[in-house]
Amino acid sequence: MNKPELLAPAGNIEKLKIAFKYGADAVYVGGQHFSLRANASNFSMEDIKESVAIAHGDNKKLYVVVNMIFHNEDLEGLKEYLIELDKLKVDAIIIADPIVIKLVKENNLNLELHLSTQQSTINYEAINFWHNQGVKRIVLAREASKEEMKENIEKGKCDIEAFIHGSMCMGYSGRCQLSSFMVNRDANRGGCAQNCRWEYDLLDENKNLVNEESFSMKTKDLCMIKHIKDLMELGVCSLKVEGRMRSIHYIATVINLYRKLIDNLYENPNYEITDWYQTEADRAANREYAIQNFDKYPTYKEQYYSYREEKPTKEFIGIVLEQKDDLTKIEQRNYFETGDEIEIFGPKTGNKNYTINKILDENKNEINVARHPRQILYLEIPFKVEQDDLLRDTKNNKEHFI
Amino acid sequence: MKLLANVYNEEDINLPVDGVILNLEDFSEIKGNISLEFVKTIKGSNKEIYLNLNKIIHNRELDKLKNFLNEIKDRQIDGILFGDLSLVKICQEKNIKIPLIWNQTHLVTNYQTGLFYEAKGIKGALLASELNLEEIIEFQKNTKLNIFINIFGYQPMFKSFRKVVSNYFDYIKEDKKENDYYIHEKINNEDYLINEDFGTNIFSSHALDGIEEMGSLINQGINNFVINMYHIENDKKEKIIKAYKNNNDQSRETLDGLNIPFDKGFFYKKQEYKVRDHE
Repeated sequence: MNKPELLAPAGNIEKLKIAFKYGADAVYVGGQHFSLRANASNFSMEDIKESVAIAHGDNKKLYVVVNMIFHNEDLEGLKEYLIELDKLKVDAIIIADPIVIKLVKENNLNLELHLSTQQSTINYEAINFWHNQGVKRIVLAREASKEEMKENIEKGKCDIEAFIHGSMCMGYSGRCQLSSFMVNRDANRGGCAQNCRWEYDLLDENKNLVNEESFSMKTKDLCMIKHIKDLMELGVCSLKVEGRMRSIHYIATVINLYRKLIDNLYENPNYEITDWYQTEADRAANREYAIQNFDKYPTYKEQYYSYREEKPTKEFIGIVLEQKDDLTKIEQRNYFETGDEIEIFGPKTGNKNYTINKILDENKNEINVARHPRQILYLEIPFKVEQDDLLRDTKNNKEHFI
Repeated sequence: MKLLANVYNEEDINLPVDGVILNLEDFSEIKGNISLEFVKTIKGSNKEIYLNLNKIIHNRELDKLKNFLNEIKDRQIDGILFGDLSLVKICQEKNIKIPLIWNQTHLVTNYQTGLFYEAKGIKGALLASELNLEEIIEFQKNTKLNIFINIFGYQPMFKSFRKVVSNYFDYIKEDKKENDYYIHEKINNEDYLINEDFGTNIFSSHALDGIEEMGSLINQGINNFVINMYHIENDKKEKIIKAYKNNNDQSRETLDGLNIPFDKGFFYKKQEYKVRDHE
């Protein structure tokens, strides 16, 4: 069985470190230009340089997303940007617009090219067109079924990467300009206003309201836990988690669970997937999950029609900075108080519960509640923990979503 | 200057234009009522005939597509508009000489990428309707591609693989009775046509009307102007064509009398995409 790469998103260096620590084989990041998360903090050239060093120091990979669909005005500086990325020896760039291929060739750059899902490539002839242009890997359209993935791997000459977790577009990627037409924000350059997640009225052809129920095109999030074995057997080379703008808790939780799942399935193809994986995924979720296109043509069950599904998670309450003597230094991320039962988890620590008996502030004064984001605090955790382990409030546990 | 009509049924091939872009029952992003069999019967014509094969192609459609291309390769087709790169690959392998025109809807946005496709033997490009006049002219001036621009009609703005309207009716447990519906956007009080052909399509609330801009675009070297007949009533089609052909004072009056909501699309807009700056 193929052991695929686990590919994680990161919106900043802290998230990148967490992604690697929790088991990602590779991380993809956006620079400050030319990627589709125009409104994320993104990585400066110095950040990318540091990220390459972190990745390569750990024998892992760093990919940089350059997946904008360019307009003429955006072309300035692109060539120089690519030359810089080449010098920094990033492991690949993820592109959507073939202008980047042209520039890479014209300037004799050694950048490995991965074609973004924004091209919505879903058939093997198109895959082989891109192969002939020098593309090494295709991020397959998210609409691909199991049969399509199989045929594309068998007949296509590029490596195939597939999304396994995270938000979905309702439209074919790159073929939705609701945002441009409705609010003049170009989705194909990173300005998507997520108009598919707005609520509309559906009117009949005479413009009479069809039903009081709002009409929307909101997808549930993708979650492929149940089909990771299938993807490994098919020979998908890279399993990608969406979410460059997501929290470190999301990245740690999702990457941790898929790391364990891939490793366990690789060691034992008959490994039985326990409920733990789905429970973990639910803890990082703010929407319900669905399998989407892989096993069927999507129905109404894979989407929403009202806003009530958005559930911000406040489960992530802190991150371990260090443990010394009897005290564990943490950074607060969400409200908690003395008496709360919490869980601490990490790649080495596993999942351990503990009831907070005492909270000390930065000056070691005892306090009862931790209410300030990023406040430095000390806890008396009675077992060994590691730097970057995360603290969760167990009373916020959610039910299974899937 | 050539006036082309994007048409969706066989009768409209006879509209009085210089050329027609045929949207077929298969392989066109917006499904037409023009059969593949009909295309195979096309003989020499006094107008240009283009096929809009701009759909995203799935594996199960490839054999049918290859057979179709084989069967039409010697027909007098003036161009194939492609939206999926499989077409380019297949046409190259089968040595099909029909000129290929890049039409990836929202992805045809800059001249450098135009140069990339030009180097692959592509002959033309139908520019994204989200470009402004300045971008259109810059594109035209910097490539040798035969440039086509949308000048009139409702513009596609969304394509999904899913049947979003049918799903809604399944959700509310009612039957879907019509082909065309509208989604009403409450903040700006706009209605957008939505229907399901090969998944879901959504169209602009207003029809693009660039009659006043045509003259300056012609002066800049643009030769091919596309009138999209989608969702245009039959009795209005020839009036629109006549107005655009004549392009005089009467034209504005004719168009305004058609009871179609118009706007200038993106001709005078500069789109935003970075709403926060982190540098």
